[in-house]
Amino acid sequence: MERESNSCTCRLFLTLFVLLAINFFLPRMMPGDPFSTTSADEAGEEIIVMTEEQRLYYMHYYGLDNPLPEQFLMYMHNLIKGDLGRSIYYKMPVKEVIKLHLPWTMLIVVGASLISTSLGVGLGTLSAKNRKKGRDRILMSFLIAFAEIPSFLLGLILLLIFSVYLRLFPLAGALTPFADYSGPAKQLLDILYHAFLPVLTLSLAQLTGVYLLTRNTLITVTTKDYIRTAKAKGLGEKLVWNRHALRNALLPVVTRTGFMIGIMMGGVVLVETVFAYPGIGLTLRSAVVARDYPLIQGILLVIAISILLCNLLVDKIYGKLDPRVVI
Amino acid sequence: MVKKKLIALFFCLAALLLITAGCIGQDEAQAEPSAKNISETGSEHADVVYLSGGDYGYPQPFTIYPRGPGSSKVGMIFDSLVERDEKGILPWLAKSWNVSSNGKEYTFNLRKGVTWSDGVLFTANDVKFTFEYEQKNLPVSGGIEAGVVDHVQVVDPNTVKFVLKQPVSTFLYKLTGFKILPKHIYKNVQDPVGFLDPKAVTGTGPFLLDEYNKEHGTYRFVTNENFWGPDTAVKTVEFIPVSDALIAFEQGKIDFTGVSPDTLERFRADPAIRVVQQPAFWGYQFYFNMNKCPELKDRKIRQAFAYAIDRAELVEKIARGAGKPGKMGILSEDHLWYNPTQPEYAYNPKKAEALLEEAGWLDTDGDGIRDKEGKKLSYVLSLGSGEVRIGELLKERLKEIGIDIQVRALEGKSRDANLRNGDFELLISGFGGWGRDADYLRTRYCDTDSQAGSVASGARVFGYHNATLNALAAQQLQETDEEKRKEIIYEMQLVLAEDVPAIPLYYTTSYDAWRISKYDGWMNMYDHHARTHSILSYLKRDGLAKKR
Repeated sequence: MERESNSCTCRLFLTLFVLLAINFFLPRMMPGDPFSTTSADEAGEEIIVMTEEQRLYYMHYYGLDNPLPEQFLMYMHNLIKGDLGRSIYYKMPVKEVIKLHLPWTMLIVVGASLISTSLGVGLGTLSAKNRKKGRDRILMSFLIAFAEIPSFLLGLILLLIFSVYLRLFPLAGALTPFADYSGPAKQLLDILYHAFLPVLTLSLAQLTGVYLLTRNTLITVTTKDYIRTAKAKGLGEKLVWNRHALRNALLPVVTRTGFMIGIMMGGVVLVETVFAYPGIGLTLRSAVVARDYPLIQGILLVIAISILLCNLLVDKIYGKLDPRVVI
Repeated sequence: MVKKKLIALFFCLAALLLITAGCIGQDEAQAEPSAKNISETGSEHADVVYLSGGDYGYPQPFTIYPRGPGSSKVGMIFDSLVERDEKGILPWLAKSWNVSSNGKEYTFNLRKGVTWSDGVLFTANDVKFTFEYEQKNLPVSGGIEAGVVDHVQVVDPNTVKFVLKQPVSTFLYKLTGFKILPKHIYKNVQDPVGFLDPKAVTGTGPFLLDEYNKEHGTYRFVTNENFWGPDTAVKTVEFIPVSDALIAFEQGKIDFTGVSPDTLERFRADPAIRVVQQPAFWGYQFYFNMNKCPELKDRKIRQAFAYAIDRAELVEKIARGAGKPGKMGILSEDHLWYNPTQPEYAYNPKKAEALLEEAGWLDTDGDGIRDKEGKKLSYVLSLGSGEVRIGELLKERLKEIGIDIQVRALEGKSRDANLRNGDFELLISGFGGWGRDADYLRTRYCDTDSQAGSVASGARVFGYHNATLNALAAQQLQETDEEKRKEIIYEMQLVLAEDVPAIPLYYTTSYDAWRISKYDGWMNMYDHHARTHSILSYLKRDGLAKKR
């Protein structure tokens, strides 16, 4: 038992080390460096073209002129001390940049997961109950067609309808600029108001997956013997569905939600771009464009850690839902 | 049970969101300004002007980002010795100046009684300090590169003298970007890149930074009541984030926007909105790599490219009219020192073919591609993913004269890395700064100086050498007489237009639009395309800043 847990810890550290190494070397393998921009990305964009003198000065300032292995050791050394380094582009400690942007992403990702899961389970159950009836067919074809719309396009459509034509929601941002809130409740409302469309977009993009999974597992489950037994016992329809069928069908849905949060952390870039939402995805995008190595490393690390945490959480919840699993 | 409660909670939350959305949305709609009192001349004063924001860094010279209009935000807080208006350079913190006859000593008489926004008096010591500090700690923009100034001397508290190593005709121009820092604050700062303290934005300029929010990309600048110069015409400037500037403008959330050619008519028809084209100071350059492809050293081939590429068509189809075709003398028609009498290269495939034949390039094997001694005129054209359509049009046009092009789209930084290392055959790069001091004809096309200077715009060309051009470039850099220098620049344009070391494809002339009832004081500096970047756009145009 002792040895087993030791080897487990070992594996974990090895994984982490490989992850950190990839995080470190991959961004540096991209062509270019943070200071050699000479062209703008779009017509009319302003860029500051650095002189060779400036470029060398800044390469030295950030220690990028040292040999790569030395830089890597330095990075590991600082990481152990809890120092993620300083963002080259934003000039701030990476930790602070992440601290500023991560909560916004968490808000929309967690919000979207909750909504898409609850809505997906609800609709999936509805469909399964009415299997092969009109309602099921309509729901299914509608949602499958819907799933084919890429999330950024969906975001654009929602933005056009709700923000441009109906003017119900803001065009961009996570807060009303320079707002003077009279109380925390007002501020919360403002945050929810700005998060609504991004959350809706992400939720709708994930909805079909949850719906299909719920529907299919429910249908599989309902053919099982124990459901027949439950029905034969004379239990009510509701009880059979909720206690016997849904609880079992929910297991894969929970797993999926956990993974989904991880995947969404990475996929949120597009949605954040459409709504100019100041989350971690948008920050990662600009970090890659700017070759901001410390920031890319920091954000990738955070995403990796949050995926690991989600998996851990899924395991825990799974244990609660399914007593057969012992952790 | 818990599950049930949770689900109920989610639905409550969703319902709450919908309700709040309705409420706040209506509030905002009511708060929207209505367009009233429209006059022909427009408003010369505004309490608040809203502009399209975004995070471009903390507005001090060391912490702005290298992409985007960060330096113009520094310019709202910090002053330079000299400033730019529509016509040229004008006195700013320096009231007047003398240049010694050998062109090596610049003596500036500074304005008296100027104070920093914290009340400390501004003196010549600040100027000397800023220069020396920025030699050790290079700012992101506005620094004076090493090797220009020998030393700075404080003559008295209101007089400062810059002694140059050799005459540099662009020195005053360089100073327009050289923002003076407060010595009493920065002298204690070891690492200005990490200096994000409110003290870091203590300036002498017309505005104070009231609020900056990095995560949301908002800035609020308010009038510096102790500003020494002309009164602010705009009391408060707010930069707010928008996802689509045009829609935000239509909804009245911002007061100034760029307009795409498709939506132009809608705004032109509205008398409340002024629509003006920007000067052509942003452009795409087509690079030849003469090191990698030595046959391109023959200028007949390069001239053939210039005749074959239909630049008017590019303006028509890609820029949809909002641009001007590139001039082979490099400077755009809107440049202060543009030479109007230079060889023109209007689209002429016949002439291009004749030039190639003269140079000995014929299609000997009938595959539609010209060749000579086994070498084919076949090239890879590298460009950014946003320039693919330009590349495709060029491919079509060059095919007509027997030159084969394969378009290779790259991510921005990769393209820049290739351009920097000379790892390309043909390449397109777009950048601004075409309106700057014409010294960039030297830094971009001459191979004398190993280092690009700070007035540089665009990367250097590869493998091009012209001794006459080099000599002219060196001469203009030393020439302190403006008129004589202008003549040399005119001559350089003739040499360039004859030689075609690179092809400016087209310069963009985007449209700006603003509500004249809100604020109508927007102006362009003589060398820059963006109106919102000039500090004079926000000031009353009288006294020192009077319209010329």
